[in-house]
Amino acid sequence: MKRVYLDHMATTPCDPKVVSAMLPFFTEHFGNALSSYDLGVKAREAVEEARVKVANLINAEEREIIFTSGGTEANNFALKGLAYAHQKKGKHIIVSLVEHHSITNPARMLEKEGFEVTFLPVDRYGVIDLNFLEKVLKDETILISVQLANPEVGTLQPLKEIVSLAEKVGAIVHTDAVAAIGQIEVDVQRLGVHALSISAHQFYGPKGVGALYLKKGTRIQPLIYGGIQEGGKRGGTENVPGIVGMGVSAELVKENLSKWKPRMQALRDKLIKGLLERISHIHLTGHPERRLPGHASFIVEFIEGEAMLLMLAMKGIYTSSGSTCTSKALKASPVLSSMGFPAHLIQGSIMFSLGKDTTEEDIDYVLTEMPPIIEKLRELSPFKEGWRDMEKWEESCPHQ
Amino acid sequence: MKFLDKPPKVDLSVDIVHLMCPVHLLELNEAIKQIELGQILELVTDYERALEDVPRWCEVFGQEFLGVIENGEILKFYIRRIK
Repeated sequence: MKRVYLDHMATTPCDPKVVSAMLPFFTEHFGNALSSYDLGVKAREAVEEARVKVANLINAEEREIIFTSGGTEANNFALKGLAYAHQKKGKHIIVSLVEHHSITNPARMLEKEGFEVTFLPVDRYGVIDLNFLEKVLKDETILISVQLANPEVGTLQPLKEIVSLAEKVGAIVHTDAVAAIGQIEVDVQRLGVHALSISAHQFYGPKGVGALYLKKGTRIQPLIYGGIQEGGKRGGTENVPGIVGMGVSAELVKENLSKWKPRMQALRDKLIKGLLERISHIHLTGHPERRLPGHASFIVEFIEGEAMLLMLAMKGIYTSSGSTCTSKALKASPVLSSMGFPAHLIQGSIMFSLGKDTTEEDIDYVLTEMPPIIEKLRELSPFKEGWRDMEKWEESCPHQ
Repeated sequence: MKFLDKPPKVDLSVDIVHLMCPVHLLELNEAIKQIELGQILELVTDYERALEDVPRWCEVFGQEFLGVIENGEILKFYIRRIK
């Protein structure tokens, strides 16, 4: 059966070059990067080489890269580590309502510990409200964390404007760039942020490895105490094969993104246009222009999302209804709720995320296979009567 | 312990607040190489055991320990490179 993978926000396939670079570090070069003999030196050199590649990808210095076990750890580290390290200045933190759980949950934890947390609202496209941010900023604000791009709706956030506002009160800005890397160019100098999280498996690297960029001179309290690895900021024997793989995938993105991006964008536009033409009562979610080049997300009215995903998967089309973790917990997406969508519409959410290897044939296949599935599901739907009564439903959709 | 009332003129300051043993000594070891003979290094830390370790390190490695300034939880150590 044909397989069309359009869920690159959940994870990406490891590039064969990444895998072949990693393999010798499981067997031949298995040394601990801290050991002083040649096996250790080889591992240490490989880690440092990968650090340079990751730094180059985001235009940072290599000493500003701290390797972690992935995006979730990098986000937890940023939130807690920066909050604890700067609490003498104040205890006010700002995060947006559409952040990943690895940001909102540590923020809620910090709130229990006595920090004051403000959750930033978003508009119907998922863009944070800059006026609201300006109003809630105060001298006690120490940290603002807003993602670079939302993985569920693909919307890009105005990071530069956030950084300018933060400067007025001397707050640190962290951004979760996990969804953005591999889709758009990310330059920490241009963004002006103090900290930025990335995860290798989102850009053709292995799972279980990520990094936190931390601008030099920014204090952080370690999340994991241990040895001297990562300059004492993150203890634990380095995941050498993973880090090597992340380095290669970073290099791959740096070299090829300018070729991948226009291709993904053209295919995304074809998919959006094609689905809007072929299916009635379908709405694009997220920002129409300021969105990731490989991201198309929709709400399909009068159907149940999980059934739609399963039927697409039976045709070999792999997509998602939103954040993978939210989908597993069968919870209404907090991202779409924050954007003002009522629960009955959220259940029909679907997102396609394209990658470097997505082809025009893949998109054509989706455009052929998806409309009959929707038609069939609507026939079976308990909303069958309702969806013919358009007036009733149109009132409830903010995207009309 | 030699506590200073005011800091001397510093040539390099290294901030290792929130980092613990043995990073404080590894950073000290690296930082001292970055200044010239006669110049002064400031090591900023909140690691209390540095109060014992830094003067001892100066003794072992033959550098001049000028003293420390304590400001709440923050300790600032001053070391002159003499070799």
